[in-house]
Amino acid sequence: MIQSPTRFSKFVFSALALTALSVTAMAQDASLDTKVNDALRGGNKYYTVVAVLVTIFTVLFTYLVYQDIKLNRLKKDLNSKLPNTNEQNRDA
Amino acid sequence: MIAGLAWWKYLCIALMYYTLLAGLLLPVPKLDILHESIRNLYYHVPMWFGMTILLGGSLFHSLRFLAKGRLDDDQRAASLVVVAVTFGLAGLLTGMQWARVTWGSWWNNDPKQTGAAIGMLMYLAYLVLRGAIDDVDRKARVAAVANVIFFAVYVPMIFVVPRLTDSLHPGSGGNPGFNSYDLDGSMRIIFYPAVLGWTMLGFWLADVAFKRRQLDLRLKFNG
Repeated sequence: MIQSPTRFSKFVFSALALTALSVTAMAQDASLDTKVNDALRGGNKYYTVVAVLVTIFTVLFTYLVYQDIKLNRLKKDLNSKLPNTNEQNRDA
Repeated sequence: MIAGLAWWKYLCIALMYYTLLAGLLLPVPKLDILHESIRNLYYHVPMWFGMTILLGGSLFHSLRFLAKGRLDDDQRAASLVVVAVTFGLAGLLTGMQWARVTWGSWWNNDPKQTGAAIGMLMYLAYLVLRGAIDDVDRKARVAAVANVIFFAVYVPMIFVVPRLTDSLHPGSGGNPGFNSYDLDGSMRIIFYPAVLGWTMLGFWLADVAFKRRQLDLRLKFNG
């Protein structure tokens, strides 16, 4: 299941890691100290919403990856056993 | 790296997490009326961009089906429409919430809002039409023709009509677009990756839906 990373994927992950670093730099912006922001982030409610959304997306991506891999495996199994749908349909 | 998972799917995951975290946590320009709701620009607008691109992809596959008669193209077109409708409904909900905050009510009979709702109903009708025909080949041909007609109606309704009449949406009815007054640099570095991320997520979901449909069809044909 494990493949060695290609040169392109290394480049993509490096670029994303650098982009992620810029997020931490901008988080220190003084404009965050506004009344609206204080109200939104009061009692950490805002961060709770962010955490819930991150959890939802994590579950979604986990499910999506699982489905993708499972369907690829099923397709491979079927390819070795059954003829192609398009050809089958044309014959019918 | 997980075997069988294409590189762009990793990129999609990274972009979506970036959009989610940066979009909610980084500072935004201080604007009257919009205030913090401007963050919806990273979710509502990219969802609509993604939906339009997915519908364009669906049109491409429908045309290709009509030209070549390959059932895979019909299956791809249907999968793309299902995901596009899901994005469209999510876009309508996020848009309604934004409208309540900035325009005062959930629904304002804005031409773009109404056009989007009609467009979604049209594509829901496309899915009902598919479900109503049993014969696979006939279903594919009828659905492909319907898809071409619906796209030809949908695009003017969303992109042309709101520009010809009064509209509350930015960039329509004489209003300036976001580009011209408040989409500053700090927002662009999130907005463009968000458009890319949402679009890729749409294609990924459609890809998984296509694989399921393809397997179902093959099993149906082969008992």
